Formats: sequence, structure tokens, C-alpha cells
Amino acid sequence: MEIKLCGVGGQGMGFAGRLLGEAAITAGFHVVQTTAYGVESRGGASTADILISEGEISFPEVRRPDVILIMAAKGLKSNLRGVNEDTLIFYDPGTVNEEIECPGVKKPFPFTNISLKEFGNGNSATVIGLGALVQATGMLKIETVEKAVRQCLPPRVHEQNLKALKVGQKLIEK
Amino acid sequence: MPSEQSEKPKIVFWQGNEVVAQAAVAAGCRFFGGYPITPSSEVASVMSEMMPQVGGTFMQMEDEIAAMGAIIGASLAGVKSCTATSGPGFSLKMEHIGYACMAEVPCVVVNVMRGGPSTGLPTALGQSDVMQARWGTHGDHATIALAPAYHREIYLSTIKCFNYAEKYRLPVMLLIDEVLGHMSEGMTIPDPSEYEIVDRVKATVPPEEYLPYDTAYGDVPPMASYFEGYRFHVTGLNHGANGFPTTNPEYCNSEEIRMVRKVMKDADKLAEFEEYHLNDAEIVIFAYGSTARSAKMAVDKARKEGIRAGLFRALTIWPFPEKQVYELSQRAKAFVVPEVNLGQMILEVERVAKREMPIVGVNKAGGVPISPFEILDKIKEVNKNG
Repeated sequence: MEIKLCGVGGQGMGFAGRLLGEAAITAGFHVVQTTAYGVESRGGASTADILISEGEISFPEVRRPDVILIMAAKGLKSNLRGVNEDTLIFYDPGTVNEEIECPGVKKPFPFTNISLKEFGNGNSATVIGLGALVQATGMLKIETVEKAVRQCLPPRVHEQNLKALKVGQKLIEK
Repeated sequence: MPSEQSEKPKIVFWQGNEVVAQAAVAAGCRFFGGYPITPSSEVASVMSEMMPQVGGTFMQMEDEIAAMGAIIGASLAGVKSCTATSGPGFSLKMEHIGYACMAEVPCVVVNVMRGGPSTGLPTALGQSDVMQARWGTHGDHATIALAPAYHREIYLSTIKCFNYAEKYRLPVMLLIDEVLGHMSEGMTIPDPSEYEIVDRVKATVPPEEYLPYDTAYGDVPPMASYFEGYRFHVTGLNHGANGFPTTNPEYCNSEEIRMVRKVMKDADKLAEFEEYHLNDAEIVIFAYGSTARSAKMAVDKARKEGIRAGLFRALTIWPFPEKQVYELSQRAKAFVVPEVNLGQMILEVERVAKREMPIVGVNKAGGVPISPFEILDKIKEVNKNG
């Protein structure tokens, strides 16, 4: 499975990719994650490519994404490269603010506004998106991603991130 | 009783740069002299956490050449040492890399290659320092450089770099690149039973009899450490057995030959490589580092289309695996050499092949990887042209 997470520096795309990668490893898959970012310390386009497979992975970049999560418009055109009619496209219309013109199954959710409503800040938007993505693909159990949250993050932020995953998951269950 | 869980080897999901740092510690590195630079900074970052935990020292220096000087000093004091950098910093270290070659000081230089000359493309991929690794510092000298392609191999190669540095007394290069350095990949941590740890041969004679460059013991003189009672002189000038400068033409000539010979006589032993579908290969891909991953996939795809392609993946790029590439050139119809530069190692393939045959590159220097399909297209083109 090929997954692409796209946003800008500071939105946690690399971190979300790490959570997904750690979870997929726990589930027994081969995983490779690469990141791409600009020279800016924040605000530049930032993407994470995650490949999950039952076999060894040679080429470490996403070519034909099965799922893509878009949290910002920056670099949109190049990020949509390889998207096909079966690609699940999760995006936040509030932060992307641009028409997404490509084939694929569009899944718009106001992740940032949901995060604001739930937590009083937009910090968890990407993790909410991740929860939705995990639930929609059925590739990993949400509990496995929760375990990754506990592994990768300091305890003080476990609660908000675990809740954010659940909030995202529920968006799909509805 | 151990649980079922604990019997399984633990799989870690580390960035390539973290793999380097963890392996350096396993190799016995206890001094890191650094100056951060993208895309290598995570090596320094992890080292800054780990060195104090294992009784080692992490020292951030004021610039790259100072970092190189620091590891030379630490090594002379008997401590396995390394630094990590990327292209621009590699350039700045070159003067001291030459010093370490001449003074025969074991150390490891990690270069996480990025794009472009000068500051170029800090956050993007390049493989453009492979010739700099060989000839970046002036004067005749031997070079050992490894270019692994997978995280587990990065771990084992890092350890080998320390071993070679200790065994041959010279600076050894580990060349990875932005993709590998920043990529996370699941891997099991190699068990210590899977590798050996080599330590330098220390001086055993009493301090008053010690000569730091005494070739009576062979091409690699035993090494005393500072602060252990031995007083000796170290210089970048050509020197005699006692370490003091000499300009004696015969002596200088024979010493330069020895310092190259100490590595080159073992070139065959040092040559490590992976052969993939080479038995009946007509078109041989020569690749190294992250690009070799794309090349492997391209070979699979070509085979599916009935093209006899194979991969020679060089892990040791210096000394160049001359014997193996020469042998392949005698039975292959063509070489395809993909590299994220405008054509550097292809020059070595051409030099060694010594016969008229198509040797074509797949080259990119824009900071992005070469895809398996780009290599496949070139394989098909070469195949079509016979």
C-alpha cells in the first residue's frame, strides 16, 4: 500500500508518517518511510511517503498512491502526481482552500475545525486525518496506531493524540 | 522465562542517520566531533545523546575542519572517532582528511550526500561526492569508501568502516545519501555475533624504543596512544620512521608507495558487492547506494519482459571493484550506470571495461531519485540497439 501525507512544515506530516510506520511494523509489515521538505524551517511544503508491504520494498517513494492526506495547498500539483481513480483522497477544504482537480475518491473533512472544536487548537488536525485514513483503509487496527502513539510520544500528549485518532475514526464510522 | 514476545528479534524503525549513529556506538566509537549540516544532522543529534551514555564524548566544533581535527586528535589519544557531514562540509574537511591519510590516523567520515555543488540542494538527494571521496584531498593516497543501500547494511557497513580505519590506519568514508539518511525502514538490529570488531594494533615496545612509523612490522605500523607514556611526533609533512619530517627522495617515495599498498594489496578482500541475476545477464546495471534499490526493481521488470538484465551492486566503491567489473565486461553486452549525478562512477566502469561496448548512464542531478522505470527505459533502449 502506498500512502502520501502532504502539508507544510509544522503540520506534523513526518510525525504522522512515523506513527503509521511504527504501527505497520507492529502489525508485521515491511515499511519504508521517506520525507521531503524544503530549506525553510517552517511553512515550506512537507510530505511523507509511506510504503507498506508484505514483501521487501526496493524503491522507497510513492508512485501511485492508494491513499493521500492533504492538509495544505502548497505543492498540491506535484503531490497529486500518480493519483488514480481508486485513490482515496482525504483533505481539509478549510486549509487546502483550492479545488482538487484529479481522479480519485474525494473525502473532504474539516480536520482543522474539528480539532479547534475538540481541543481548542488546530494541533491535532493531522492526527484526526490519520485516524480517518486508518479507519477507511482497514489496513491497520486503530489500536495498533494507538500503541505507536504511546511508543513515540511523551506521556503528557498521549491523551490528546489518542482522542484525536478516535475522533478521526468516528468520521468514517458515521 | 522469556515471553514469546521477547524471543522475537526487535524490529526498529530508524532513520538511516540514526542507524549510522547506533552502529558507530556498537563499533566502539567513543568520540564524535561534529558540525551539523543537513541531511546528516541526525547523526550528530543521536550521537549527542548516546555518547554521554556510553562514557564517550560528543563535541560540537566551530566548523567542519575543526570537527575533523578533533576526531584526528581523539584518535591519536586512542579513541575510535568519527564525524558526519554532507557535501559542503565534506569539502571543508578535505585538508584534514589528507592529514589523516599522511599521519595514518584511523577515523571515520560519514557523508550523507545531497545535491549540487556548493550549498546546492540541502534537503535533497545527490550521489555527487563519490569522486570527491576518492580524490577530494590532494596527493596520492588510498581510499576506502562504502556505499550501502539498505538500513541493515548501513549498520554493518558503519562497523566495517571503523574496522577498516583501525586495521589500515586511515580515514574511511561511509557514503550514504539524503534518501537513505532520512528514510526510516524497519530492520532488526544485527546481533554482535554477526560482525567482528577490529581494534588497531597497539605498540608493544617500551616508549623509549617506539617509532611511530616503523615499517619493520609490515605496511601498517603499530600505533601508540598519547597519554600512555609514549612521546612521538605527528606531522602532515613526509616523515621518517621517527615521525619527524624528511625530504629524502627514496624514503618519501617508498613511504608513499607503502601507504597506498597497505590498502590496495587487499583490494580484492575489501571488494564487497551483491550480484543479482548476473549469471546470464547481457545488460549489466552497475549501481550503488539508494539508486541500487531502483536498479534492482528495474532488473525484475526487465526480466519480466524477457530482457536478460542483471545488477552488480557495489557496496565497496573505493577501492573500485576492478576485477569483478572487468570480468563482467568480458561477458556482458552493455553496462547501464544509474547515478544521481551527471556521470561519475561510470568513468571507472569505462576505465576498467577496457573494450568497446555500450556503457550508458542514467543521470539526474535535480535532487530527486531515479525511478526504476527510468532505468528500465534505458535497459530497453540498450537492448533494442543490440
